[in-house]
Amino acid sequence: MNSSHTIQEIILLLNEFWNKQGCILMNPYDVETGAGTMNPMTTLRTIGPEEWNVAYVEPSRRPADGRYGENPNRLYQHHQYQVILKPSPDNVEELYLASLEALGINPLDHDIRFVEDNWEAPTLGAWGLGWEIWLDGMEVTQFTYFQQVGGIECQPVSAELTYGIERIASYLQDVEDVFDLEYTKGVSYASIFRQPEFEHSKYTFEVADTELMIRWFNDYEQEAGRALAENLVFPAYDYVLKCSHTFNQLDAAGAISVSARASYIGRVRTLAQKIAKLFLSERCKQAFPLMKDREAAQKWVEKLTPEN
Amino acid sequence: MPAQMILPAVEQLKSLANKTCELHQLSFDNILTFSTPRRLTVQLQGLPEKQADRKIELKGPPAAIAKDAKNNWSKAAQGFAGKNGVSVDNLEIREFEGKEYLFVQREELGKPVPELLQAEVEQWISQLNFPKNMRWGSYRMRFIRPIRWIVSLWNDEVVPVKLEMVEAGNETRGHRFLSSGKSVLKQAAEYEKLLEKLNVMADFEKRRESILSQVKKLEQKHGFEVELEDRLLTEVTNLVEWPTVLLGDFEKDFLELPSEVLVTSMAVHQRYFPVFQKNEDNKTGEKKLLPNFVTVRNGDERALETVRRGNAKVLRARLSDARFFYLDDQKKALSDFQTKADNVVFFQQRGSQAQRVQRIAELSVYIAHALNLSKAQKKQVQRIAELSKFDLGTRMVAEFPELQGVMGENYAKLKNEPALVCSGIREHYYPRTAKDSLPQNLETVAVAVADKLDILNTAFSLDMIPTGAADPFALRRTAQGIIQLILGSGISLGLHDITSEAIRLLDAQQKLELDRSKLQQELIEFLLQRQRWYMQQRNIRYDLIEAVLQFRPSERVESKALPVEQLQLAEFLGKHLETDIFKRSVEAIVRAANISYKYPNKIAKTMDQSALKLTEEKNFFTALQPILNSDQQARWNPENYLKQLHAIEPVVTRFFEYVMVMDEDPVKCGNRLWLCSQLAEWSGRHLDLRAIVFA
Repeated sequence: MNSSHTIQEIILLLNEFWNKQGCILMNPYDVETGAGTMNPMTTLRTIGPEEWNVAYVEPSRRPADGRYGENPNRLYQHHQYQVILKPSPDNVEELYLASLEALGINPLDHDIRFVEDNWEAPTLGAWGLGWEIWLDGMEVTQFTYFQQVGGIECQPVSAELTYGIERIASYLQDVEDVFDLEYTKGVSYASIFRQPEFEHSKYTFEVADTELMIRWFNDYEQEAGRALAENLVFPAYDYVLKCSHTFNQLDAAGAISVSARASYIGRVRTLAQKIAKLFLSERCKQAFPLMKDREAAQKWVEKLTPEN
Repeated sequence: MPAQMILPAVEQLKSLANKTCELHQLSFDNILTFSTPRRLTVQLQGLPEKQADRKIELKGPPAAIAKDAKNNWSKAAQGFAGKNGVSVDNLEIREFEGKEYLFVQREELGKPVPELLQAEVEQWISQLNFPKNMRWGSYRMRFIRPIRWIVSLWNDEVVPVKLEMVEAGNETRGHRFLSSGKSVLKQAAEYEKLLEKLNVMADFEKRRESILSQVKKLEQKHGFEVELEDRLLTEVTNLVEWPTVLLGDFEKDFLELPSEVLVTSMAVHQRYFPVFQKNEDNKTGEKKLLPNFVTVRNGDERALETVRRGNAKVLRARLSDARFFYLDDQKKALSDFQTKADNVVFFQQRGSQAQRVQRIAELSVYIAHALNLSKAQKKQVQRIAELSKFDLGTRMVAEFPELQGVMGENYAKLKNEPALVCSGIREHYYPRTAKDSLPQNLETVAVAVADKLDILNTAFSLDMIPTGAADPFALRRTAQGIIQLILGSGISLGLHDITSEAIRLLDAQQKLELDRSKLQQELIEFLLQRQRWYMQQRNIRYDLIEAVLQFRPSERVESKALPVEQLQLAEFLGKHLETDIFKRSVEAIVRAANISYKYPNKIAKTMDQSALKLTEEKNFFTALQPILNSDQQARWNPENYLKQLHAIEPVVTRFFEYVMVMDEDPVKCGNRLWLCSQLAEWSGRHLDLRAIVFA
């Protein structure tokens, strides 16, 4: 291997790369998420006409993937490096490949392929088309052109690049077991994450009070609805994230039947769609402040403002 | 572009180009297509510079209004000539479909071909059809993936085609990594050659051939056999522009895993080709996997070792996972997984997975009984059913859902279950598609029907009936499976009986107090839809299917008709459909049926034989006797039915010719209607002849 970056260096290099491309560098969200996509910096900001280029790390919780810190490839919580480019630039594939080169991955020395992979998040009423990017047979990135979020057509379309940080690191560092990764010089992944991995798995599969969680789900849902009624987009969305995480916990604990599953997903989606609509209309009231082309912004306002 | 969509897309492009040439009457020598993951190309060779001049004939108003009273050209005629830019002297009167019209011939000058193409090419792009389209950037256009460049050349001249995001030119791009930037294509004819220089094999077939010959070299060198499953080979060919085949390996120890696990990991998850020992080395005919894989890199030979190591590492990670699950699962007894199923909810309010298995077992045994299976066979049926779902609780199936059934068979073998039971666990899922094979034996068929019917029944009892495109539990596929099992294995199972039993079992087990008759009606209607589909697949005429399946709704549920007999009947009658005698027979009976249905109140309650005076009605009565006296419960066969139908036809035809059914005398009329209604009732027991349509 021609480079052997620590996880920390990988993040720094990606930050540096996307900073140069003009991205806003953001931080992980402070409510539990299952993926960088769930962070409102993606979910909400990909709705509506405003330009938005952002990059951030997102620790992502997948309760069902918890393996007590014993599996070399599966984690309760992994880390994604999330990039949103809105509108998707014409050279977005080249930009992505350049970011790999920034990590020291010379495409001529590897086999890089774009394999079809379409993305759907039923809880968000969102879907897109795109790719898995394979690096010598390993999926290292999800590349998606968002078509719909919260039931709203994306105009313009965002490109989402989601790098699996542990995947890329284990390739660059040539390790078989994620826990053998070097987080930064002299500090192993295991020394930081083994204990939480074990504890979260044990909690999810053995300890969690599922009856309590079902109540939580109902309460969060209700509170999201109350916030919505007051036109409060972001607080409402935080409760949707709470709902979503609670649902994932319940699902991992095996407390949700096949048919109930669909109904839980439907309830979260209903909220997400209302929030998406509200977000769009609130941004519209502010005349889409992030749009540089003010004339175009005005046109959008006229298009989206209902006639009295 | 996604690999699966490339060939269908370039085929469409070819046919659009062909259509353009047809439309404009352009001849050409050859049409070639090229396609890679990054490009769709059509190349037309030997087109003329210019479209040929053509004479076009235009039809005008009818001749009747072409001249006025003084035999001069009318206003209408002058208008027609003027509109087409010719003088009235050029007008002709000719016949068209039996009437006379004005005609004019006009010389149409051929247009230069590039000019014609310019307009058409834009159409081609927008007319390409994909199963799923997308938008990108701020553009409105939809396409399979973003369009980044267009090369549009007439020999060495750019044909200016313009989309909202890109204008056509003569610049193309080569391989993503092996070439850089844009390259100018000077001559359209040099397309393939230029791309070859840019490390792109543009021709799908040549790329495929290249992979095949590289694989062959490996086979010769190592003396093994690489399994090149056709679909996978096509997919892989369409994932790369410059294929370099490489051989990788994994630790021998992994060969302890079931071969399906290895093949799934390689072929499905990684798009690798599995490698087998050469067949002649082994006598059983079963191919033995080797600890190798073959994959195709999108690039050249540089740093091939890195690529090989990377791929091997990914596979090793997958297989380590699989081995961990495999060993872990084996530590448990089969009954442990069955116990686990107690806590898995299948459908809410419909009990646990364990209860579902219980229902499948009882329904399977009921079906085995209906199929006259022996006591020993029933025991096997019971065991297959009991073990049909235990593998859903294994970690391996949680990880590889596509291996459900396969792992069940494997684990059951390890625990020394009988061979028929083991294969039954795998095959009770059959048929999984319209073309899938059926289970090998009736024991498994019984369980396969029961399994599918239980899902269908359970979902329907919760009102989850598919409407429109939405069918999240694939219930149409499930119902289709039931019909395939019954008709494909030719077994005597009636829809009424099996649905009754399925409903009874669910209702009793879950104490639901279901509306059984409503549920049964819905199930049967749904199954009949799939039976129709099945019969259509067998090329049975639509009207004949309707005739065989069409019962009055009230009868549909109660009917004990066996689908397998309905199929036989339809296939048998299909051969006679075009004969005159069959046509006459049907017409005679339909006439009798129609008139008796029209006047139900006038039909005599009992036949007054003394009032039969006319020879024709007496003959009708006599001819009916063997039919009326036939035992309704006796085994019925289509050949007899047809014989009887043909035998009675002349009598009935003469009857209608010479006898007035609706006589003023209510006794005579009642008698005659009685004759008709008896005949209709008899023929209608097996099919509704009124549905048959003669050309």
